[in-house]
Amino acid sequence: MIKQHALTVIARLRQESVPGLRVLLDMIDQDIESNSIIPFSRLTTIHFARFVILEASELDGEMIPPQLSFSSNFDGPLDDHLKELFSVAGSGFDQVYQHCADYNAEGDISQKIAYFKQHSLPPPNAFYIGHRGLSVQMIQKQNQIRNAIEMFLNQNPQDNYKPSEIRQNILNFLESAGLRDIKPPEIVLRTLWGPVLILLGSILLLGLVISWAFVLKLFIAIVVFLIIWTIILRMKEKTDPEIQIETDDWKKDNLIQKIQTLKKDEDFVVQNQLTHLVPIKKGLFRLITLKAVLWAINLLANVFYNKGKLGNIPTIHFARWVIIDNNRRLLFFSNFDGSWESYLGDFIDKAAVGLTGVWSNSELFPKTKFLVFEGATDEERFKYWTRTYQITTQVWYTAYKNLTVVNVLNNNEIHQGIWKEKMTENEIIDWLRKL
Amino acid sequence: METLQIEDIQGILIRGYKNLRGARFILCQITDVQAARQLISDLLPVITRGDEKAEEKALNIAFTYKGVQKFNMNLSRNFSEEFQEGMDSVDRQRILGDYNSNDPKYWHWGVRNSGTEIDLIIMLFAPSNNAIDTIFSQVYENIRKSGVLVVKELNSEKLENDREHFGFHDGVSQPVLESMSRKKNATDDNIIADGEFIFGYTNEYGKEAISPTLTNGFDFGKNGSYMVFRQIQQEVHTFWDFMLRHSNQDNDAAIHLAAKMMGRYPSGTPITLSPLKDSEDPEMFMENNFNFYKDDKYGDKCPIGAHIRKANPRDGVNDNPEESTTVSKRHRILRRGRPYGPPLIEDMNVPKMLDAIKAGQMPEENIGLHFICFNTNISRQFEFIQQQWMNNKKFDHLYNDPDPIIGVDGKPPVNGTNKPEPPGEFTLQACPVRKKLLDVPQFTKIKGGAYFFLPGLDALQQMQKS
Repeated sequence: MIKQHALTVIARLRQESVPGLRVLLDMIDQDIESNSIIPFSRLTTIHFARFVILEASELDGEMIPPQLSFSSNFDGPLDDHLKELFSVAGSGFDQVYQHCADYNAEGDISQKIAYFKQHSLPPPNAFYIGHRGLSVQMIQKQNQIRNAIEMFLNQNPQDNYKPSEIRQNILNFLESAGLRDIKPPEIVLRTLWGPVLILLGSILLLGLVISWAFVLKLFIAIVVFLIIWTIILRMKEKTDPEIQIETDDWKKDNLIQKIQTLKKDEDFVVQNQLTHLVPIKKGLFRLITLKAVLWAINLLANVFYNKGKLGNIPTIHFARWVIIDNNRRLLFFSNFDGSWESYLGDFIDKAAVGLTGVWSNSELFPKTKFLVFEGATDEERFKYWTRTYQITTQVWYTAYKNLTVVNVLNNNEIHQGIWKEKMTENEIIDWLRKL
Repeated sequence: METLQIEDIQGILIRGYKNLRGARFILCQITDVQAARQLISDLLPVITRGDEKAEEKALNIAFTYKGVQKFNMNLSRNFSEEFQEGMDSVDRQRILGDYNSNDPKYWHWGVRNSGTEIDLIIMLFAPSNNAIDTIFSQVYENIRKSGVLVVKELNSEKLENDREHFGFHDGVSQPVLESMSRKKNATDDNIIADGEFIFGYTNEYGKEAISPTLTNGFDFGKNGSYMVFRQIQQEVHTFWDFMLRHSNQDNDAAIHLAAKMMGRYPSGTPITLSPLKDSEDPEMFMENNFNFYKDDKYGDKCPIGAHIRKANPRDGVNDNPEESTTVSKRHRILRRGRPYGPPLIEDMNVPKMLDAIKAGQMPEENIGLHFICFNTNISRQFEFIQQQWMNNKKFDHLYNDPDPIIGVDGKPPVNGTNKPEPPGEFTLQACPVRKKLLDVPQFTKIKGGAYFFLPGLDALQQMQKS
């Protein structure tokens, strides 16, 4: 089964080269698929990719220099992905990265790959995949198959056939059209059982090897720890400031202007993107809490939310949280279906607890209770907070701009059904419903 | 439970003035603010309040952002972004999909830099449109004195049996405000928090919508609402001609197909409750107590892309009826639309309409609906419904189905060039396999529109004094 991964490369920019880079990135974005600098549609391993300039900014009285972030969601091994980037669009990446402080455009491909690896972050603190086990090529192939079947049905009404005959007609058509050449992938998803067994196993081991009294003490210690943690948390939640709807004219105008530039890039295709960068609340307590929540979300994304819904949100292709700048800022990338308004609505309606659990540890988040409650459900304040910390994505690429997550998964089920040896009448009826 | 300050709320939010069959919408520009203040103070005593029954006449007024601005109110917290920008702005155009034939550049009114921007709307209601001149002669006198410039007057007369121009019973499904729910027999799914439609009350998130506020602390939004107005021209001939062509010119089949697209029969009967043919029970014509998940999950009766299912999916999306209901309740609007222009057939009998069309009779070109709705968060309610449900070809698990009745499905120009979107499809889910209608044309065109703010009576006092 093909595995999808997340690459995040963050390199420091020279302050004076930021304006020039902005122009270059704009040129790429104007014709994202086939521009002459980085023609993204020729990069076959990429699902989604983006360049984002993290502007110079002040944090706790210290200047953080401007940085360039390149991130991708890609298929297969990292080395193959990087090799493709540089063999297909090497000179384009040179043009971009010559704006960075320590990039050597003269070097050979292996040096450039080494540069990317050196500046790449460890895997995201939390990474969500909406359609596991489906490569870019497979997603496109499956859509081609589905489109062909739809066309066949449009031209050949099936009014007088039984379900099993209709299926056979479709299979015959695919055979004749040469569309039964590729088998669907076998997708094996992890389940909750893995982590549960590991946990039970460890408890058993501790009990047998050390003693059951020790396990009990450990359990009590954890409970005591959680009580203390909760008390500290509640104290903090009562005093942490939350964002106020800006009334100061100058700041208000700045924000409105920024939101307007963000909106200009939205709603051109079926999907949209979001890049969000927010300082983490000061102190070890919040940092450790944040890391623990992200760890848990990452685990759940792997073993539970791995069938196309995060929380209950069915519209996210890929999303990731990464902690950057020496544990001081939290960066969030997302590729989703539909509008910003509907995505944020989904956050609140379908996944408020998880998202509040994460972002309550960051600056000025709407007031929370017990880490995960309230917060995001303060609808208008939460949307305002999100826009406040959202940043511009200079370059954004999607490999299947006409497909939603629901479409991708449905296409796969159609494909799987084509290759199934035996199907009952009911299974055939269910399968035909996917058309 | 909250109690509405009904005497401070303009009447149109509380009732639809059903008995007042005639209406006129006077769209004005304010040239002299002092005179406009005088106009407000002249009108204040005759503005219809929520606690009046309004049997003989009704009058309500609302302002665009440009209009409010002229009064120099000192706002410490401004109106929402979308209200400030206005319906004809580039951003709202993108969200509403108003491109190509719906582009504001073709609108008859409400367009910036064209002399048709609107500051103020005066809405008059009377037993018939003809009676308006006499009943409101004093109001006309006040308008004349105030020197406001009348940009346009939009007339309306209700059609027989509450039909709209395609021939369908309109306005059956309305949310019931929570504080008024004891009076009406409504189901929980259809009882919506007052704050979704009126500022100053709790909304579906258990919060109060962020309301414009004056520097002196006065809650300017309180008891007011945002009013969305869109003039929707209906292409009645295109509509029925399409249905007839896809039904071998058979009236019954054409009506059934149109009912599939609408989700209700012309009578109003929901097709999900009566899938094969229209019911004869008049109770069904007003029926609104139904859901989709349990008996019509796949759309075999009411297609997933049908107009009423896209406008209010009830419990039918994302395979999770409870959550779907909660979400649907957060995207509702209170509708107060009125038809305009002469109908094809006076009594709105649909088979007769079809015969007329087959006989080559053409409806008047300029007929349609003055769509009016109220909400406190335009981007989460009206715009969301238009963008994410109506125009969205990917609604639920669909691939390429915009709303067949009012979906406009336009995309912003790429690098300056505006490519018309290919026509949408309409999928008729069925067992054993679906049918599809291809190349469904647009049956409506947007001809004007604006976002208004309908203030409470106290807020109007503030404007008059300011």
